[in-house]
Amino acid sequence: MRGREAQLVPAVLEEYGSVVRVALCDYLRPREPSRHLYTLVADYPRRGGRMLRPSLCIANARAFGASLDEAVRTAVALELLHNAFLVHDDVEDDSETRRGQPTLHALHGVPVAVNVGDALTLLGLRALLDNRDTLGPRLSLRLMDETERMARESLEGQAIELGWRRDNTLNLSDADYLHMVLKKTCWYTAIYPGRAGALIGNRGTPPLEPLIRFGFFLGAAFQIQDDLLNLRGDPLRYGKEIEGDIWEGKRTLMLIRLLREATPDERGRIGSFLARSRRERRASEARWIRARMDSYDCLEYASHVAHGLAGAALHEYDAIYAALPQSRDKHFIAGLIHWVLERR
Amino acid sequence: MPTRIKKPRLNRTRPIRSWPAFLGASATGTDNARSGDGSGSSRADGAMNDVVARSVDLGYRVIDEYIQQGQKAARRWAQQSFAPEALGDDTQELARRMTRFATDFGSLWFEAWQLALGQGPPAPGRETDSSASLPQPPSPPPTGEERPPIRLRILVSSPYPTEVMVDWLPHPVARHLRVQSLRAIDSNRQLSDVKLEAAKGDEPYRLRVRVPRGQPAGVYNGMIIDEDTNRPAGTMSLRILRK
Amino acid sequence: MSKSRPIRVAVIGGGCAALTAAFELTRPELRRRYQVTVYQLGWRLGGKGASGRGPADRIEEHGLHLWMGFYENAFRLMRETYTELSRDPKRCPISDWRDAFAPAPLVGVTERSAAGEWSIWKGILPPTEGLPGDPLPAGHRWTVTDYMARSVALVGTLFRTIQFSRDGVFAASGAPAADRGSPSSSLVLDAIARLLRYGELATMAGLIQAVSFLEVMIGSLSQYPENLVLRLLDGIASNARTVLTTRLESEPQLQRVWNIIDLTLATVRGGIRCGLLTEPRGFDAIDAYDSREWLRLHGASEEALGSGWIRALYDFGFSYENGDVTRPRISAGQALRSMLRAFFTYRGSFFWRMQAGMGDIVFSPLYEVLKRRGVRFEFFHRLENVRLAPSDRLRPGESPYVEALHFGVQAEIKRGEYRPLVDVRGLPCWPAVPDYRQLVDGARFSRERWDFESHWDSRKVASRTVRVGRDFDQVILGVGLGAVPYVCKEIVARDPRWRAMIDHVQTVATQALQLWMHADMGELGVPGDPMTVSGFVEPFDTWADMGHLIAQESSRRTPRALAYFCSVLPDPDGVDPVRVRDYPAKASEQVRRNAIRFLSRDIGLLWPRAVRATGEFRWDLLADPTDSVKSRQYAGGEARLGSQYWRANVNPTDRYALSLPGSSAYRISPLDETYDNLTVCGDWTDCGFNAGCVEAAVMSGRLAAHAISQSPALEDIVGFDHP
Repeated sequence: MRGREAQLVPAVLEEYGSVVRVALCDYLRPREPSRHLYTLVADYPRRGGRMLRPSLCIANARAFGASLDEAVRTAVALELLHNAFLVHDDVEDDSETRRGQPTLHALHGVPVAVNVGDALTLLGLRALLDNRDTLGPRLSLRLMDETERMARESLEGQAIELGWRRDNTLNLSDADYLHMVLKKTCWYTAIYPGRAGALIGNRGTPPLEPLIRFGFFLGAAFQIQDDLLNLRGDPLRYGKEIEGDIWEGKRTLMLIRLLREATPDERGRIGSFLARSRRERRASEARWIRARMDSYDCLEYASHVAHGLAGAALHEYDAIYAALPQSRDKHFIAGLIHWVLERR
Repeated sequence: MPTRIKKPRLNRTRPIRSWPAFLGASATGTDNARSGDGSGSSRADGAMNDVVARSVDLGYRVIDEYIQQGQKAARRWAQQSFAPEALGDDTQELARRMTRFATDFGSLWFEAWQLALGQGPPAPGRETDSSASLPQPPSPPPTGEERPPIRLRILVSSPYPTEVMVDWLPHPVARHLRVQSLRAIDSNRQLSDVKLEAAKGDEPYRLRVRVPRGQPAGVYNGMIIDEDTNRPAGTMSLRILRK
Repeated sequence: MSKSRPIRVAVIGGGCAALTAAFELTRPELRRRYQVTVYQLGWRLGGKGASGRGPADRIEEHGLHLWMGFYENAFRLMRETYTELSRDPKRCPISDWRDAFAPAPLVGVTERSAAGEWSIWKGILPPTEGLPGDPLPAGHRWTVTDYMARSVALVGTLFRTIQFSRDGVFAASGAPAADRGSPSSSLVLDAIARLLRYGELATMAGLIQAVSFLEVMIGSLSQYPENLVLRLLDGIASNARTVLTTRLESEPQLQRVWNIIDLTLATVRGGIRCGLLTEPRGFDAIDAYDSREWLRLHGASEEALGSGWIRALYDFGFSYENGDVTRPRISAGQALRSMLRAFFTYRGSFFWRMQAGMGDIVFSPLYEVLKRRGVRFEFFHRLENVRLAPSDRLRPGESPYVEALHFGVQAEIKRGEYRPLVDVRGLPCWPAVPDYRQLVDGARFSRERWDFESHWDSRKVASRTVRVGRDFDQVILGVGLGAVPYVCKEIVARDPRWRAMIDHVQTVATQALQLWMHADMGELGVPGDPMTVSGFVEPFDTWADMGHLIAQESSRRTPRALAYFCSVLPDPDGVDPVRVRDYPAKASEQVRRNAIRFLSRDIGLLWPRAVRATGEFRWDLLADPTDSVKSRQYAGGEARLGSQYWRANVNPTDRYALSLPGSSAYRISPLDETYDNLTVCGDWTDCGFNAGCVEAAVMSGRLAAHAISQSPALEDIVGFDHP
């Protein structure tokens, strides 16, 4: 049963992904100013991507009883907002590549990139407003509320993470990490698609709180696995640079464990690395940190945590979806729980 | 012969008697939750199983605390009403956030505002006859001070069923209003034959719109500007229904 | 096939399990997908839990039904039922579930001294947070590790209590300091080595510290070598004994505490040695052992094994093979499961009491709610046979299935549906006899003394067969296990697993006695709050003070005390009771004689002032419910017992299913998929908590509903996923 569900996932992602890509075009049509705005706005969305979040949104909507048409615009909005976050994230993290190509600010400078990010946000908003026609004003307003909350949580989570980097915080616990990930990633990766989908399907009375829990566990497992892939993934298939997180000083679960387990001397050395700016950091130091992570089993530890959280997601999944009629979308959502750990 | 109704196939028919064994097994990809003798073949395996169990507990602690915080906040907010009058500050904030962006998107924030004020969407699909036809301009939300409402007479000349909607800013005071030519959101199409004639004395404003034959269907928006201050006073939205 | 036609479910039996299944299948969320019909013999629902109202509205039960604070599923069912029922509190005295159930925290365990003197050790188990049936915290997991850790903590608390009783100081737990999380294993190992080497265990302080280390080690057992843990355990046990022995002479009540410590340490030792902390089968891994045997194997002393605690454990489960009180046997796995759930997971109070008869508290509300939801009830239908489709008619790959159900119709209803409830001062109750006026030719049943509930009285007025496809689509079999060999002859003959189940999962008959008295318990020599006592002599090893029920009854001269007794009832030697003509009357007479002997000989040990100086029981204490100051229906002396109520529960379907060692594997689960339209339910099934109690019955009913509708989710059945 689990094997079949896992095969289902790429197929559904492909199917819903194409639907969303087509609908996305409506919002990415070329207009003026083109060279410094609209062409660039279309850049990140056009670079491809798994369409995980919009697919999850549509699947939830359908599992709870809505049709594809009713859910598409919200899925499009989510994808647009996701891309807006990516653009801004890349600026804030000072990353160099995204999905195999240079980041937007690397190509066009930070001011333009910021503006493009804003425009993507507005387009997302536009898509949500267009929901009025298909879903009615009350539900669309509710979805806008939900979106505002999701965006706010993501910003707050990002702020927490940036704060750690700015203050060079070394003393973090797993709970701190999970709390940050809950806000920064889980909300828009898994919680919002669940809740928005459930709202659309159920027309306003879905189990919203359990969906926070489920989305949290799923999103956290996803994020930890993402961070693991950053350290050991296949550069061709993984969208960002390998070991880029170490370069960025990102407080992943692995780094947090390393800081916790390391000797005082080692901590000092890591702290100095993190205190420097990205340009000043040296490759030999980054390699040393990576090697220390291996000595302290940090990757294996994080992998087990991710598995534990995926198990909890399975448990929460049953609580929410068990009573719903059987559907491919239900199996897809269940399959995602395993897929987030098994993907490359 | 009609088929008998049978019991559904079940995913699981046995209790999970040991969570660490169950979760550990699924991590290694085995299908059967009761694999092995589970006695922990090596100390390292055992320690990692503890990690799994502890991470689940930690995860639940984090999320439960988070949800409780949210519930406390929600209870504090429960007093808040969402009547348009009460929305005041939030919509200002919403509007403020959106006014940072280019005016091309200006219509957008008005619409968002309109939604927030609970005034509802333009009703789709209603046919109007091509001579005058006038949805009432929505009354501006009650403000603290008394301002005379802006009365508007809308005259539409169009070969197709057309709907016109006008939304005013909360404090329209203007005397000299001008309407921009209307533009479709997702294309460069324009509707320029739009004129706002000033009110004289007690007369209402007159908004004249002419839709030429061949104008593509869709929604066209434009801003109504206060000429004295060059600030927006409202938006106008025109929808041509034809398919 | 039209999707909109509801699926028809025939539920056979009206006990806790069957009605729970009906309740689950007719939940509003399922939107009438299932049309349920309940077939019940006789005039009342309840099965082993049925009760009636006799003369002066006195409550007549099958036996003693105590609810425990860990019955999460059962309480949830009751709370939901009462909420849905929304009785008007102005019209009905029991309208909220908290009117129906009250905490009963006082527990008594009898002890017999070496001189043969009996005493009752009373204890109040402290109230805990929350109420049974409350939602559990999310992510809640039951693990053996957790239970072991709490058991160890209990031992630590008991040590400190002992030290407190002498020193007046309640010591801190003495755990090694830790800044974040558990102390590192090397720290703990060092400390333990020190303790063992320098003989510090020989002091109370050393013991307390050793126990706290043990707690730490249990939490992350894989980091410590197993034999070190066991060595520490052994060291604690033997040194504790030495330390305490010197004090036992001057403080004999310490013996009781020591017994608990002894048993707990043996449990922890056994848990570690048997690898239970990581065992995928949980406590099922030790199902084959008898509980005393297993504890003995892991170091429990004979004294502790003979203590009142262990006797109460066996008594509460009627755990006597063939009803023979000289052969106590209970599965160690299930006993451990029951004890740990009972002591460590109770909410509110350890025991809860019903404030009226079980029929009034549980089955009237269930009946009313189910009727409102559209469930149909066919009373006076006795199942005679479950007929399977012939195996040669099955298509390839098709599962065997139930083709028809044969019922004996015991009586026909004059008009419409039988209305089973009577009003007793505003409370809907079940009567002790059927309402003959509603039955066709009703007077005849009364005249000819038809016993609708008796297996030995098979009289009926008609037969009725219902068929698959035409009358039902699914069957839920909720009769007692004892009835299965008689009503499922075909299945037992064809299916070796069913054969094995009835061979290995034994049932016993039980006996019950209810006494109303003119003096209150204080006057009888038992001061204090009402309690429940077990572990006493046979028969009637369990006694509960049920005075709170007097207010529900309507005697002209109100009794001042009410006592319920129960125990197992052995089958006659070498004879199948079913073949004995008039067996019910003979068994009832046996119970009467048991009661006389008990009151003449043993009651004085419990109620000192209920007997005269000669030791004779004061028969005049017994309150006759029909007694007025003037009438004397019953003569004096022993004959006065005739005014009381006793019962021999000998009907096969009323027999109590045991949890004998090794029998768990033979139980069949409600989730079993062998028959595609038959589902079993009952506390005798493999329901996760394989012991005879209301909670197991409710769990099995929920599982049965899941088998048919996939709802409730298995994870929602509290305690199903549990070691």
